[in-house]
Amino acid sequence: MLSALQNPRHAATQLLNFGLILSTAFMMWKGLSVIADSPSPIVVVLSGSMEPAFLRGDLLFLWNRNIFEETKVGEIVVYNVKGRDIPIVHRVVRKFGVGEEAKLLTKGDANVADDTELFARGQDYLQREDIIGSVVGFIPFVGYVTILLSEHPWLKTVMLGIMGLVVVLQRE
Amino acid sequence: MSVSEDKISVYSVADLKNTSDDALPAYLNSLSFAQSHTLTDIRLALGYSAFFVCAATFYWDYTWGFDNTKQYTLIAVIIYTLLNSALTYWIWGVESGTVYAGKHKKTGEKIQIRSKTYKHVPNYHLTITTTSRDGKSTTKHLCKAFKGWFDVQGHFIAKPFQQMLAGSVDVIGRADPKNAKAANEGKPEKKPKVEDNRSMDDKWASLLAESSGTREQDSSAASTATPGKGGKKRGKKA
Amino acid sequence: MHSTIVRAQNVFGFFTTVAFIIAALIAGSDLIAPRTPSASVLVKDVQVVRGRPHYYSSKKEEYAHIRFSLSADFSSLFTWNTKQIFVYVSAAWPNSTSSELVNEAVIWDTIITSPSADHLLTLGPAAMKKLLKSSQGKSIDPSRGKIELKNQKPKYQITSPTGKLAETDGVVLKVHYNVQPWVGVLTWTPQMEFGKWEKLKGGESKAFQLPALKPKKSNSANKS
Repeated sequence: MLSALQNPRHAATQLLNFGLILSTAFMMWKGLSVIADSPSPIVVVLSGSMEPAFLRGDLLFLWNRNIFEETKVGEIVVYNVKGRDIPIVHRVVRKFGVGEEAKLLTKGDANVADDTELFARGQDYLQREDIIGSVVGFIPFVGYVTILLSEHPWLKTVMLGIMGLVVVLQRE
Repeated sequence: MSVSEDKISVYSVADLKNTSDDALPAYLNSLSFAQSHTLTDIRLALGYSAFFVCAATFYWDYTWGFDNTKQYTLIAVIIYTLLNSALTYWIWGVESGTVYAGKHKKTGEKIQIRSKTYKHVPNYHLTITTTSRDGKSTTKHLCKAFKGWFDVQGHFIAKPFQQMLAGSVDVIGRADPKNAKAANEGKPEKKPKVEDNRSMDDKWASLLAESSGTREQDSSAASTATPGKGGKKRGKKA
Repeated sequence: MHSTIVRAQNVFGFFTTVAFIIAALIAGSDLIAPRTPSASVLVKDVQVVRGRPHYYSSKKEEYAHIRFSLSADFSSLFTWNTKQIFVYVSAAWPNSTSSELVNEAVIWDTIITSPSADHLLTLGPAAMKKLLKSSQGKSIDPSRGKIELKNQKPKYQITSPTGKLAETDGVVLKVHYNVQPWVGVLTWTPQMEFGKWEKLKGGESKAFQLPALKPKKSNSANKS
């Protein structure tokens, strides 16, 4: 196994195998982003504001193209608010007007009040450009891993380490 | 180069195959074969260009964000897919398990060896294509049990491996007449497998006398000449 | 190395594959379950009042308060893969420049869970007990999909960004639903027939006009 490192072509191949696993994962993600036209086509639910539909850790697939019709009332959208890092998943409850200028208001199913309070100062409505996608697909629980990883950062290091070791030391 | 220091798990067909695959070029290069790295180099070129496309995408995506760069990302994704398909085709269609490609330095005969194993079956399948100088090529399939050149502890033993190759492939045999001769003399003796230990050991021992193997322990039947590891192995397996 | 990591990898890989295939089959089974929902909605009493968006606001806006009756049958939407359906009634109206219903606002909504998702609801103990009892022993309970509402008070009073709503003409109430699966694709009221999924029968009221502003004692109409 270690003798592989003495031969530069072997070492290069081994390194490439590892690199290709990472890059293929990344390019698949980017490919999905381009197809769905969303910077983040798969998101993990972080809060309980859409319970019982979505729970923490559920995986959502987003679609950000309006091929047949515009984003409309009742759709569950993921949007960004200026000055806030974490995107929010809520349902559109009001829409005034059409096109890019349409004014949208959202609300979490489990929340009593609408999202006016969550928006930036002086912002009463969302616009289409704030939205990074509408929820179209759902897989429960799978995303919980990422919540664990972000809450316990050392797990990331451990996982990356194990992955690297396994790939470098093993040829299949 | 008789018994390697590294030990592998004899239960892992992948390990058996990889060790044998690594030993092949080492052996052939020690004869008068010049290895050609074209196949590997093209694979590396394809793989690393794909990787750099990905690295570039990562860079601009990270620096300028998704929305500003999505046209470029789309193009990059397409290029990456093409490169990766080309790489996959290269590995499966063209290389298809090639572990050695080379040319005899003097005679100019070409040799290409592909290896393959099947899940859970400890046999080494070799497809050997030799091309003589006038362009006539012959293909030969070999299927040999790994236990021929691995001992029970998982040490790779070079001699029987080399004899297996030299004895089965004419081009190698001509380049390594010593091993070829030993292998060919050994052939008829292989048949009476389940005879009594002693005679087997004796035969093997005398056969392999000329091969200078390291020996870790004397076999029980140490009466005749120098017992090679072949003898040792037989003794253990019986 | 060989016996532990490789085996763990294989087991995990196999587990993932099986789980993924089962999930895909479950998600796909939605397509073979026919959907034949129907709904009828009637406008009852409509009022427009002036109020403030919230307590500290000095801005006065007009709020429409629409009472309605709803009779709907969504029982065919409940299958083994249905986690909940979200039913909502919205008011839609055109603006001054076009006759299309470009404005839409939800006036009432409800979440109907499958018995298998009841434990996810946040309800008071009494209400929860009642709910659990209603479909005891059933993992799918289509009867929950039947809705009968008489002269229902709206949950949300609606306004418009201009603050003007009184005497708006061509207002329509619409009933919609959103099926939330346990795994798979989320679906909304379809715009056209799709395989075994029929369009919603009915589900739209006659167009009506919002009344003139009600002369009123200045009672703040809080939204939500």
